[in-house]
Amino acid sequence: MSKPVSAVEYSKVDAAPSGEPLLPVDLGLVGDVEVQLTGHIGQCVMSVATLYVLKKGDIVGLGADVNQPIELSLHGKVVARGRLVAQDGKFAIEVTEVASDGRSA
Amino acid sequence: MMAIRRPGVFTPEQQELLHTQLAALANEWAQAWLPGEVDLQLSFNQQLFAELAANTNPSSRHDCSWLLPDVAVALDTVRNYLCQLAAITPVRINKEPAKSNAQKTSEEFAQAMATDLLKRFVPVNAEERQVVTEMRIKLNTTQWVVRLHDKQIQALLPALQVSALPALHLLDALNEQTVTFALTVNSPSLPISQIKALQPGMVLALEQSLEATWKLALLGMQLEGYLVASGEEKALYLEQIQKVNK
Repeated sequence: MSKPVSAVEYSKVDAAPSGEPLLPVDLGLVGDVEVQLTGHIGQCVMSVATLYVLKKGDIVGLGADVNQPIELSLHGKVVARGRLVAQDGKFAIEVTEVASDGRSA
Repeated sequence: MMAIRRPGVFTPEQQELLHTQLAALANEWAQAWLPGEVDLQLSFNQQLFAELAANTNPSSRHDCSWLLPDVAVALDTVRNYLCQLAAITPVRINKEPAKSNAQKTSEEFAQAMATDLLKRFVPVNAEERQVVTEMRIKLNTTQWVVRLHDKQIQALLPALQVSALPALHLLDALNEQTVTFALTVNSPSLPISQIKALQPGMVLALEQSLEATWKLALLGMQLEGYLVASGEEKALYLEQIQKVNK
């Protein structure tokens, strides 16, 4: 036997915020949230005509000096800079500069 | 096979073009068969996926008789015309059981004209029948009705005029178009607290092996090669270009 049910009616109210934000701006509260940083190594701009004549073994410049730091960004905002290094047979980024107080590096 | 119905309607421009073409046909026909004044009236279907109502009542077409499924002609006038040419007395066609020579000649003449006219249009199969245009032609004093199907009318219309961009121009334009390939690398997933604690000197390990190729991605394609230094500039030693799914 199923039990009788009744419809739910939602109260209609208008938003009326007041007082301080309930959540203080404290990154510690979201400290466990995991994100990925994107390192921008360089980029090349070329015409389609150039694209069609590329051959294996061609050198494609990336428009950045080898000593130019790599920008590490989160959703387009630079949060740190570093340089490309090798570690245990893999590439790695050694941090050289970090953003402070939430500002871009 | 199921009968198909096409839209069967035409723009004013198309109707004008058809009028020009069919008038030229009527004039050509008149010069070959019945020299004299030519009068052409066209009726077009006006309703989408419909056709002109079939009206086989000869009285509505000035005593026309149907020689072919879509061709009617006023045999009396044909006969009169031929009789004038031969200087013989015309005889009513439909009222007398025995056909006179004038009757037979006029029928044969009309039949030949109808056949000639239909040869000028593409054939229509049973499932393609959709009368969308009716020609009423008056050559000298002879009345004709020709009903044309959508397929036949479409064959008269020129192919849709599309000014094709010369491929050479397109390639020229594309050659000047620039594309940008960005070389990026993602860090491992890190807690925000760890990012917040980043300090100069700390090292973020990457998954990219020293021996592995890098990929410069662009929508639809990617360049793949090894990261090298070209002089003082970072560069990619190209291994291959691949088309990739977006």
